[in-house]
Amino acid sequence: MSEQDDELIEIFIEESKEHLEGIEDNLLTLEEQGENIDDDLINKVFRAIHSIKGAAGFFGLDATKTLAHTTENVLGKIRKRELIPTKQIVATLLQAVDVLNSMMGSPESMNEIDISLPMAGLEQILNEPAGTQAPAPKQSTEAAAPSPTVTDTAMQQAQVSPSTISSSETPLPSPATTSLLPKEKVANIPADALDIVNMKGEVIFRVGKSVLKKAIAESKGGNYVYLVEFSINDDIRARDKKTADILSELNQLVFIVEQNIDEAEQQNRANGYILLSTIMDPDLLSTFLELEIQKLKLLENRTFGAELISSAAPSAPVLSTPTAPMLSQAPEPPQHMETNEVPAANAASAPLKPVKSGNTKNKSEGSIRVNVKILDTLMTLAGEMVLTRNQLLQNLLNNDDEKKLQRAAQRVDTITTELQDAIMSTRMQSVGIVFNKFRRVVHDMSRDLGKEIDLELEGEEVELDKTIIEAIGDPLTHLVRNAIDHGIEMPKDRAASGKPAAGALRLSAFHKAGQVIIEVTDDGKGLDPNKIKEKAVAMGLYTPQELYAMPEQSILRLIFKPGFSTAKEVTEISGRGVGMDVVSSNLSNIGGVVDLESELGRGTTIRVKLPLTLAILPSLMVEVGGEHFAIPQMNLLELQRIPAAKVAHTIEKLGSVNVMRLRGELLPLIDLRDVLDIPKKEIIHPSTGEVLEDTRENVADRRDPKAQQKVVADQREAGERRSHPLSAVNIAVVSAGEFNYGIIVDTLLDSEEIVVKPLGRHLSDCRSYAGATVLGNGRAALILDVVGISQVMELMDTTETELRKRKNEEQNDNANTDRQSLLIVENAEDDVLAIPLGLVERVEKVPRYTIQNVAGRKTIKYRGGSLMLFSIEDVVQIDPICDKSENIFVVVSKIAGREAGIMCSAIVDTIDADITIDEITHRAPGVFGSAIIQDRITLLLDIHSIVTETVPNWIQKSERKLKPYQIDNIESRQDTAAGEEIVPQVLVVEDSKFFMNQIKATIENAGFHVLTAEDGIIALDVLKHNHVDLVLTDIEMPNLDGFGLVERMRADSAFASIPAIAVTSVMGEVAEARSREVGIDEYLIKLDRDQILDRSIHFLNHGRS
Amino acid sequence: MGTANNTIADASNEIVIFQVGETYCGITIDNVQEINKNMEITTVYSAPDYVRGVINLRGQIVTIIDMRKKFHLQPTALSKKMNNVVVNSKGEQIGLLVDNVEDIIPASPEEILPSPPHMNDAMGKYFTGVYKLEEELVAILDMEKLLSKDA
Repeated sequence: MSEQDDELIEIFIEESKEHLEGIEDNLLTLEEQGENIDDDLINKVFRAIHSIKGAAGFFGLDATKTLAHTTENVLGKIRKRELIPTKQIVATLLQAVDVLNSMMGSPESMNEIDISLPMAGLEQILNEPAGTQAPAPKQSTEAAAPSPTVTDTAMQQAQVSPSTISSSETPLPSPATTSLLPKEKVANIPADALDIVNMKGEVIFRVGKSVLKKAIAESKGGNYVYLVEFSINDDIRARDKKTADILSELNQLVFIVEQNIDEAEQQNRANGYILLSTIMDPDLLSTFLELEIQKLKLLENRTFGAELISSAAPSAPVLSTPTAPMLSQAPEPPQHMETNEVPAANAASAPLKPVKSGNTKNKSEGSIRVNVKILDTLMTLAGEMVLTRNQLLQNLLNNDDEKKLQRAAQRVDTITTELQDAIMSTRMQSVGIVFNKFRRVVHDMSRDLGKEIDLELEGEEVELDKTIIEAIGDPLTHLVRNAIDHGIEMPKDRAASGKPAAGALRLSAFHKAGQVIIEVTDDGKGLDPNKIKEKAVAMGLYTPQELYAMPEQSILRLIFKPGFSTAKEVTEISGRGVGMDVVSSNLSNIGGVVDLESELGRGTTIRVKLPLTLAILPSLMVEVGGEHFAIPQMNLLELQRIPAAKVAHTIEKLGSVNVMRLRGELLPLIDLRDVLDIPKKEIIHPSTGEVLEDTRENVADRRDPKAQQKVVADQREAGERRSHPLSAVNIAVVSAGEFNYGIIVDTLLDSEEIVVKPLGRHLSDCRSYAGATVLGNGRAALILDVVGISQVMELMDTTETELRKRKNEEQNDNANTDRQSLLIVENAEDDVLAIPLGLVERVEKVPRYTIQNVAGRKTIKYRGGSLMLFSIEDVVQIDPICDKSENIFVVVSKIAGREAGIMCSAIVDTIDADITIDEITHRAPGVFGSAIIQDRITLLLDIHSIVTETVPNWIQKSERKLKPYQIDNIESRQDTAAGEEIVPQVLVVEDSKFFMNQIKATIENAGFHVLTAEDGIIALDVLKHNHVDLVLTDIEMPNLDGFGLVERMRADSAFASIPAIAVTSVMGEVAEARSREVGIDEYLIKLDRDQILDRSIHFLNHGRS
Repeated sequence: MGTANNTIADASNEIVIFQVGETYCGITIDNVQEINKNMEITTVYSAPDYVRGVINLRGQIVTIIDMRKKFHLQPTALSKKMNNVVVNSKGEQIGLLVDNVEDIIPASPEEILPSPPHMNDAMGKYFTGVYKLEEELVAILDMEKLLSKDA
């Protein structure tokens, strides 16, 4: 019994929530429309509240009913154009809706919720003098003050029923005019009979009081007695109903005292009547009967209550109630079935007993509405499944051949997939449910903040799993609030920057690559990367140098770091102690990924990628220690298989973490064995096939510091076991939201769609798992939680510190990173060398036999002259050039004004990359240093010294300009006493220590004095305090680059005349053009010392031309 | 409701007896959902040590508790004699990996004696009573305690 009641209440709540959801939107639209009230819209709202009221009355939820009722009164006035939905009125209505909402949220204490606040507001609106509103009839004011404590619900209902407020020009039909209609019935009427009069005052029935009392006492009855009018044509025939059906249906729910509808139908009368008693209030009854409320006439119960029955004459107007429900001119909205279907639909089957809300328990775990079509599909599929099962069983029983079995199995497969889809679709809900909430958020916030905002919603129909829909509400709200609070500017600021006063906020949802993308876009002020940088520095997250090197996108993404907020002041709206980090982590809990785009002054777009559903997870299966694990595809970026031979130079130890270089980025690696404490790997011996325990430490064993040195050795060992597949390393590169890392596994298996199953309570503390699934072979397998694992391993913190340390080291060390254009060549087989591309004039392919040996020097005929050839191995200690092929390659370079040819066996590549130059390890004649390029240690050739070492007098012959200097523009130096020997001062601006050393040496060797600066800012400072004759500057530098430096120099009269040479490693016309623009006098390639020296001397001699 | 109560009462009168090491343990049958020999146990690494792993029980993932571990005994390799006693606890199915299921015997509540007070060792703390078989003593287990996460 009570369970059924609970179920009813649940349905009521569910329905009410839906009603309320729509109302909010509609109210806001009504407010926008102002005086031009949209009838449909107001009717919709009215009906929604109306049905809540009705059902609440049915369940005896008085507070809810009272509030709904008063709200309805206000709406009624709006509907009749007696009120204009002003901002204030709508705000009050919204407040009432909020309280109703919270009632629906806590069904157990619905009656205890305080309704005084919205009630006061509503009543004030109702009581407002007519002057401020459209003329309001007096009754409405009376009706507007129902006390929630009134217990005589029937009375109250009657008085405050919306129809009572209907226009009252027409006075109530006078009881005196009553006339008796069915005269033939008068005869057998008992003495205490009462006349039951219809709306027009015609007497329809005459019933004994005792009969009525009995009716009320009847279990199905209640304290309401109605005379219900049926229009035979409209209410019965037009609806394809039979009077008998109506009566039998009614009999289940109400007590029928008297009726004449069948009679009326037979006799073709216009109207038939039923006199009944019930516990349903007028609204509910009208809903149930699908009759307009005007057709119900509520008989005042005191009329036939024992004590109150007077000795009134039978003809007395006992039936007139204060209600005028029958006034047809009242513009009552049609009480459509759809708005009220719940109580009606269930009333038929459920026992009708008022339920005190206190007894109600919210037992269920929530219910969901499912499209009937989907249910039909499910039924069909279930049917098919049964058939196929029968078939299968039959096949098995009959020992049918394999083909038949296979067919049946295939069928099962197809049906299962379809079933899965259909069942999944029952869980799908449209994003609109979430989106529509934001109209209110935007409305309220823009009012509070004094901003104007146009909200645009797009893709509301896009569907997502219920769980996801429920989970994205809060993060999206946060994003919307942020956009309004921090993104969109005040109208006057917007006007000042030439934007429309109203900010545009767009929420859109769409499908992309099997995922749903939700974007929150505003056209506000955008994120300021500089502010983010400042904040990052202030928070101690990064140094300015680190930030300089960071791409803008990464800088913007810093806002997802804990504690980050760029708003100057924490506002009440969005400064609630939750930052974007919480948004990001909340979304990643449901498998979502957040990203953003922002343009300063133009606006911001936050993009959330969501999986369609959480129940089925496309995953990659991997194997470690004999167990299978699933890595959700959502987190998977790519797979890397590092051949054993390459392990040694691909994976390196960085502090306590193993990292791997992946396209220039350092990627932290973890071994799943370490994460999960899986015993050491067994190795199948390549030749014997024996199973051995792997003797090497885990590649990424970060907990054993002693293992660290060993790793290197072990890796070498791995390298020796060349080409054996078992010692290759398989890595799944995954994204944990803010950062990526690699998981080392034994074997990478296939992709599978897996069904997610929860883990039991004993395993809930294992953060490495997101759940479990069942594999095709029936075994259970665990699903890895990529974010959880990174937390378990404290990957983010460790890696960040390590990476930072590494960066600092790189900056402080001699090794340095710089962007280089390099020509990669091979000399001996597999021996790679690099030559700065800037020094290369041409590359020629030359048949070996054309090389002539003249007086111990190799030459070829070349462009009408001869070109001297140089062997790298003559100077650099490497293996001699490979002599297998018929041709060799000659790299032609200009050294000290003359062309020289460097021989090599092959041209491998030209690259343009950030490389780290180690100028210590391999420093030797002919070699600048070494660098790891494309995973290989590569020597960086110093062509200049190869040439000069081979032919010591090469330069002397050509280079007479380097003789002692006469500085022509000495007079420009004020700080030098006349006659003193003048040493020109050259300022070298260069952030890379390697190049700084190179250039400094070159210049100093020529006899000049060198001042140094690491970046443009420092250079400006040096310029201020020192006399400088020439500036040699790099282009790419932190804080202020070469372009910026020269630009500022040119703008400052003190430095405008100092010649400036750009010394760079990046080739490109764009850069050259830009350098001319800012006033750079010469654009040179690093490492071309002759050229640098040559031009330096030129400018020192002649100044800026 | 009335009938339901009766069945529960009847069921309480039966005890499932199984062996863990040398010890005979019993649980009232209304706790037990099924007894199976599903030894396809997937190891859950980094789980609490008494969790032997998980199995797939008709689509449900069921945690298997190694009773030997729970009693601080040396765990053994899986064998044919072993059983999973699947119990229902707080809406979750949990499997107890036991060495051997001995019997299911009728026993009225009066026959279960309170367990001796000194039994507070690794095993004893899970005993709620003792039942006397002809030759053996059967320790009746306190499911709540046994399956609580921190114990």
